[in-house]
Amino acid sequence: MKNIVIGALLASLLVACASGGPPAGDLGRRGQAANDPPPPMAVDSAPGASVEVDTLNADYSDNDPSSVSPTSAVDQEIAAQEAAEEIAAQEAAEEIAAQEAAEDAALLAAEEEAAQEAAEEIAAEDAALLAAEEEAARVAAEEEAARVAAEDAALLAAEQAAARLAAEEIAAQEAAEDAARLAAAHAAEVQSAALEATKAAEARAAEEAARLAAAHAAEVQSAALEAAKAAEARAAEEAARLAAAHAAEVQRAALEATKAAEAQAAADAAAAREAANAAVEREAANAAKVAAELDAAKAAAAQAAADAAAAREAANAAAEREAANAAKAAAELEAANAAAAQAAADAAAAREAANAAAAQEAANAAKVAAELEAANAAAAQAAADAAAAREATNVAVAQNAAKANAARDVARDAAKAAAAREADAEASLGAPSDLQAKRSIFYPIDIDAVPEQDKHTVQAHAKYLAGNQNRSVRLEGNADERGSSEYNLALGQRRADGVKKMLLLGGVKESQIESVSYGEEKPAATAHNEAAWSQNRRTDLNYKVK
Amino acid sequence: MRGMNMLRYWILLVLLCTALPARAVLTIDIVGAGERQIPVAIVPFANEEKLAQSITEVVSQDLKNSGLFRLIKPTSKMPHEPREVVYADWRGVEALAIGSVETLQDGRVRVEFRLLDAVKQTELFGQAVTAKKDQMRAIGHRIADMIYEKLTGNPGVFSTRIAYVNRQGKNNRLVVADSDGYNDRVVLSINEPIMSPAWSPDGSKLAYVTLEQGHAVVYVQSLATNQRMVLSSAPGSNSAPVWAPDGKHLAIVLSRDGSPQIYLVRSDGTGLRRLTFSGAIDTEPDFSPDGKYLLFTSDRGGKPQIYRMPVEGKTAERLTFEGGNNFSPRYSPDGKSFVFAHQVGGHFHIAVHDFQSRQMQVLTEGGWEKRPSFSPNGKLVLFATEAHGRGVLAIVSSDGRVKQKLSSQAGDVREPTWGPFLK
Repeated sequence: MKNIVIGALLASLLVACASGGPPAGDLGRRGQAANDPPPPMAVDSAPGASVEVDTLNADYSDNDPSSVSPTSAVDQEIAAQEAAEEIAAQEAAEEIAAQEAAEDAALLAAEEEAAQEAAEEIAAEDAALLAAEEEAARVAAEEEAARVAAEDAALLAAEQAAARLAAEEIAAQEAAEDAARLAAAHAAEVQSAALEATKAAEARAAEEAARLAAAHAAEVQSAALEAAKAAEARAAEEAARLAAAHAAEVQRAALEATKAAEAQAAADAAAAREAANAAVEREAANAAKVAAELDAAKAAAAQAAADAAAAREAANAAAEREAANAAKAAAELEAANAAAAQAAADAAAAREAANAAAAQEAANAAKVAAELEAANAAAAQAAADAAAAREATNVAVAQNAAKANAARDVARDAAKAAAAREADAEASLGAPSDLQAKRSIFYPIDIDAVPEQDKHTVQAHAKYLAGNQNRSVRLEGNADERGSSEYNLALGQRRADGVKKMLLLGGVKESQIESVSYGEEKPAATAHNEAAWSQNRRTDLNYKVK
Repeated sequence: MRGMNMLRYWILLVLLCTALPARAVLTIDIVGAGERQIPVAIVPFANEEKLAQSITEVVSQDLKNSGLFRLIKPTSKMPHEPREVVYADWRGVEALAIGSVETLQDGRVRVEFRLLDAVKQTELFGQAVTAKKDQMRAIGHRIADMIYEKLTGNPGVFSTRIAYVNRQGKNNRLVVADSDGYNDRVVLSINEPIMSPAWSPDGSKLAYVTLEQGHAVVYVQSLATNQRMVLSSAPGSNSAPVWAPDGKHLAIVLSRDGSPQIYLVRSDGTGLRRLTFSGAIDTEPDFSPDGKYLLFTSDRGGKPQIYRMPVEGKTAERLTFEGGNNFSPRYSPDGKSFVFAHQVGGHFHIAVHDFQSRQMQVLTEGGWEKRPSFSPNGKLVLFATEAHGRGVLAIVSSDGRVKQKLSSQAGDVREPTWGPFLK
């Protein structure tokens, strides 16, 4: 009976322990608990915890389940446990009372039996009765002692159970508190970890964003740079194309101008030639007329006729000479005109040629005049010899002289015009429109090929030389002073020979070209810097009359 | 009496010292010193003061210029004979030169000279030389050569000559002088550029290039007779002559067949044969001492670099790979290395390339240093450089330690080349 009571107590205790709080290892539930709003009696502070313990003790001492706080699962469980324990304690007390009643009844029955037996056996045995009474008293005393002991033991057990219960309750509460504290601490940890994680994530995100932004900025920048470069390149290209186009135009214009000048010169020369031819023809006609007149006058004087014939021959010869001279003059004019066209390239040569042409022209004109005058004189002599009276002849001769003068004037004008054109041509020297005006090719360092931008210049020279095989050119290659003197001599030679090759390709005869090198020996600029060196990396084209 | 002699000696010396620079076309300025300078004392020779030119002064100057000797000023004691030498007076001196001069009846001068080992207190050697009065410098150079050879183990080059071009305005003079710049003689003077003088192996002739014909033409001129002949005057450039060791052939550079290439020609101008076929610039040939190889400058690789090829062969091997450009190779007399002009960063340096190690050693600080050539003993390198805006000559020891500058009095000095040993 006692064992059953103790087992029930123990069983109720075990139930109470098993249902008290979540298992410590369940992180999920702890985490969840951490997320729940904290209970009113939070474990944040130790005083709160002590208050809770006091409250639980008061509940237990009041033995009133209704006073258990309904706000906490732990409290409810504790309250239920307490209620169960109180019920168990009550039941134990009632059982003790019942047991006592039963024992009392049994005792009474035994005493009545003993009294009955004593009454029945009084007669038989007083001593036995006494002994029985004594035995019964002794048994009763023993039973009483046993009962007291049992009651004491039960009380002790109940007290111990109650104390154990209280201790267990305290332990459970403490465990719960610890669990709550741990949970709260863990919650705080988790929270701070979460905060940190959030912060880290934010930082990472910010970093990533910054990186992306930077990358994007760099991309944008590089794109902008590229765009700028492309734009620059395009602009440069455009400028180069424009420059090239402009250069081509200028070149075309120059070529056209040259051509026009050439055509003009040719026309002028033709006009001069025609004028001279006309003069000659007129001269010849006049001479023939004179001869005819002389023939007509032959009857009057045979001697005069013979003289006239001689005079006519002389006049014819003079006319032929004149014609030849006129042709020569025309050719020289042409040459002079051509020289004028070329003069822009070869200033000194052009000037010399022009001067020579002008001088020659003047000389020729004077010669023509002198010859004409000689012819006139001869004609006059002939006329005088033939017949002084032949006025017609004289008139004709005078006319002849006038015409000769006119022809001479024409020739002079032509010469003047040529000279004027020369002057014009010289005046145009140095104008960028004339490619041939460029007489030096300049090179980058250690380069001997004709630079692209100078190829047209060389080609213009080639065209001129190919068309004027009486002209020749001396190509003088030079180098700056960097490098050994022998290497520079070789380099200058390669530069001159490079120009020579282009001229040969342009149809110039090898016999028209001489290419030499001065190396670093004859610098145009003597300073020791790039400005001077760039002047010295050069091929000069020097024209000369063959 | 001796005091009087001394006084006269010093007066003469002072006079000489002040008068001599005016006589020399080149004056020498020395920088640096040998690793170890041998202390020597040159005692003025007896009766030397009677000569127009002090012999011992030439000897002392030569030894000093080499940078290998430290000249100890003679003490008051002036021995002229071995028996007069008190070695205790010459502590710190390793060698001592003494001697005497005697003017002979015919006007010639007899010079006796001895070199004494002041440590071992023995005579190293002695010699007597008779020469004309105007050859005292030559005698001094001879004595200096002997001292140099005895104390260093290498033959001296004080008696050898150099050739160079002195340019003053338009005037160009081809000059031959002693290696110290004295005793200069004008071989050719024209108003057109002169380039690339080259000594014949026996030192009797010079080949060179001038522009006097309007283009570069190679001449050969005899130094004895001064007669000259045109070696090559093909159209274009004829240049860069150098003699083969046999003295019978020269390598020259001609542009007659296109790009400047190297040709072999006999010294009379016949037997022309083309040696290189690169289509690039091949120039500045130089024969190896055995005559089997040619070094030359070529830009066949894009930039001027040094190449080597067998004279009888068509494949050339590039030797220089250092940054920048390299020009003007010249073999050392032993054929184990070559010196060249190394251009880098706008400066020209003189550098030596060793065939065995294939390493380059730059000998100079750099500037405008060009056209190096070895002294015939291989110990010095002569080259052209600039000082104060003028072209001058300089000499550097082949280990780069000692440097001398030879300054001219007027104009630019350029295109130097060191002559051979006199036979």
